[in-house]
Amino acid sequence: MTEEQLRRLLDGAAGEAPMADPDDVLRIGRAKVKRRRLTAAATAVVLIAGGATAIALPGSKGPATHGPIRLAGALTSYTDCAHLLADLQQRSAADVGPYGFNTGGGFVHGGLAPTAAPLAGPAYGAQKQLRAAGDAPVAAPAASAPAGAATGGVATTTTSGASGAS
Amino acid sequence: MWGERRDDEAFKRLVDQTWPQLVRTARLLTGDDAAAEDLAQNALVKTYEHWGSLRAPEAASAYARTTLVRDCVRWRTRNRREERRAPDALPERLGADPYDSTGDALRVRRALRTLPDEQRAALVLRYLLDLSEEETAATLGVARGTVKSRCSRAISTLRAQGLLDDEPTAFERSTA
Repeated sequence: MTEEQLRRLLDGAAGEAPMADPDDVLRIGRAKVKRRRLTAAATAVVLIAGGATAIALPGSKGPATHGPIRLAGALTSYTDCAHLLADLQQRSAADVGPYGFNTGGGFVHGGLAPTAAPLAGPAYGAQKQLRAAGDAPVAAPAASAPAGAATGGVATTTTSGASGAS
Repeated sequence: MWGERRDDEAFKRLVDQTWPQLVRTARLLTGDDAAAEDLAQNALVKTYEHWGSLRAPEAASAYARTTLVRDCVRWRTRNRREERRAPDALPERLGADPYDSTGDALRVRRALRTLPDEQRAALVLRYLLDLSEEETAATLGVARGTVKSRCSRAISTLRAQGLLDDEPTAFERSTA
């Protein structure tokens, strides 16, 4: 019979299987389950921490004044979608400045600097114009002084509108 | 804890019982001995992960089998391009000693590699594992009629390659 022949052929082609160690497979399974559980726990921690950070953002009109982690208190009820969108836009606008979230910041040596301090040096565009006019070169404040000393911590490479930072 | 709730002894028994069939199935589906063992182990590990959600202990072996077949198809898809590019490492054994079982095994494996994945899977489940048409259909997630047609086409291909007698199978006679 062809079916018997087929079974025989497949059986021969499959060969003999090596012995397995059930303890080995069990150990791998346990490790994987443990890893999955740890990942889930870490994800939960990150989510909760993220929620707490969002609550504690300065300037947010959320329930930051209610204390540390109070996710339940962070819930707000909305009457409809338009209400929700309007509130979201309002809250986002309060946290976003011209340079990004939380009014952004400029790059200086050592990381981000606050932009709230007033600018002391001339803007880059003004320096360039002076150089082009043949005046004495204006040294960038960051080159002659420690970073942030003359400019209030703001990089001098910002193009324009730095004074608009709030 | 979940880990302690799992019936580890039952799982070890499952490994003992299903390992040989899983490895042999994966060998024919992938054509790669090393990958077959990895895939079999992976199928069992996945079964362990979902042990708690399996309705009955008997469902565990079916779960492992289904997982294995799906993983083998994925493995084939991933490796197909490389396989086409690489020259065949196995020596051509057609016309070798008819009593040489190694030669037969190589011929069959080579012929199976020419089949589309879905036909090979149907054939192996049906004739190596001796699953019924219903069980094969459930494992592959297709209709029973699809299993029939896939097996029929696969058998025709193998016959055309001279691996099978010209005599039609009982299944072929019933569908003729």
